[in-house]
Amino acid sequence: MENSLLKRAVRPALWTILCVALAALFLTKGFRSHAQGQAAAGAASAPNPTNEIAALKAEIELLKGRLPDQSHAMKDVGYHFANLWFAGQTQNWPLAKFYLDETRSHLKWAVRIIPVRKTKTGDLELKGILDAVDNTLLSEIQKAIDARDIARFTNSYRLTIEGCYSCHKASEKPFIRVQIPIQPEAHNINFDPNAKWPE
Amino acid sequence: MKLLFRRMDFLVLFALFSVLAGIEESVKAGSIEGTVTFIGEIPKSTATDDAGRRHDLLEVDSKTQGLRYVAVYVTQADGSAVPSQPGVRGARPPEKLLMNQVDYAFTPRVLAVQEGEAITFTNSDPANHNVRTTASNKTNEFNVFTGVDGKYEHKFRIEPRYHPVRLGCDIHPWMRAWIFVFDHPWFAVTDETGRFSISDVTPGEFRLHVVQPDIAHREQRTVRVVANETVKLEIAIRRGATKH
Repeated sequence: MENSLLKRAVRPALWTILCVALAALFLTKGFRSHAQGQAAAGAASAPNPTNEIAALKAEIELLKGRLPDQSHAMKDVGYHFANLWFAGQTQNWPLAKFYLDETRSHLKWAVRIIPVRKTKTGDLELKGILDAVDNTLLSEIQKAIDARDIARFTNSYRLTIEGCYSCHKASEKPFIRVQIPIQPEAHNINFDPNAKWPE
Repeated sequence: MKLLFRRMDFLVLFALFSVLAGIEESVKAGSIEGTVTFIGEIPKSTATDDAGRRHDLLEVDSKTQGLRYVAVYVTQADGSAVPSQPGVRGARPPEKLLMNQVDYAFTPRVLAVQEGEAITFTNSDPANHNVRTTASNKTNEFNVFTGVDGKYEHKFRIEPRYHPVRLGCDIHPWMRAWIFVFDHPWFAVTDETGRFSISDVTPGEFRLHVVQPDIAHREQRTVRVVANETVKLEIAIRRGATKH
């Protein structure tokens, strides 16, 4: 009697333990196989360095095609440099300073686009020429502006044109002959330093 | 009045003593003389000029084979620098130090100066140039535009191990020159016949350096300078055809 009572009490507990054990076994196995599957999938999708380099190269070429070329940068240089002449001639010195700074920064941009030009005499280091022009000629314009000296400004502007042309010739573009501008490039800027409108 | 004469006597004696001491000092010195010759095919520059010509890197006298533009200088026998002698010009004439850009070339091609001496850079061409220097000592580096009749002055400082400062023109890339800077007067650059002369050298053992930067030639030899004597040297540089 006691034995039968004991069996009745223990049997459900044994079933419960068995069920829990089976469930645990099933879940563990399932998790392992899932993890293994994930690892396998990860290995399959690991980036291929060769493909990645090819993709980056293609992207660089795409970006290169979207960047402006050196002539575009030089057109900007011409715009600012022409305006600089009229700002200086009207003795609007803050405006002259602005156009000189813009000329300098756009020249640097132009040289960043093509730092070394291939010519029939060999490599032409445009940065070397620009640095010389900047250190000497453009610095002289800067001094003329700082001194508010129109005679010095006029002389240094002319010398700078000669410097520009030296680089054009060395770059095998002697046909791009710079001159004193005949009118400002900026048509909607008032060069008059005493202008009162707009306030 | 007597006191004045005494003072003048003292001044005259002092001046006489100074002159005699100076003469004795120069008598004690020795000198180094010699000739550098070049044997072999003269190398050409890699960069061509506007007409497509490659220029000779060396100037060799056709009769004597004497090589121009070789720097010759001394260091201590162990290779260390001789004691600095600022302001002592030695026997060098008080010439104006000039580096000219003429016929699309730097002239002279090799110039040697003492630290702190001013070199005037000029442009005698009808075209614009620039002068860009390359050096280890950053105070020796500059890049200036030298337009027609342009002028610029610079004082150079010592370079490590007396390496020459390199000069170039970016507008005309075949133009090249070198400047050696010393802190003593015992140096020379060979003339058009390859001759050099270093005088007023304190007697002792020295290392003589012979450097031609265009062909990266460097050689050294030991020399013993004796008072009132001249060390005579014949130095031959032999080379095959090379491009620089």
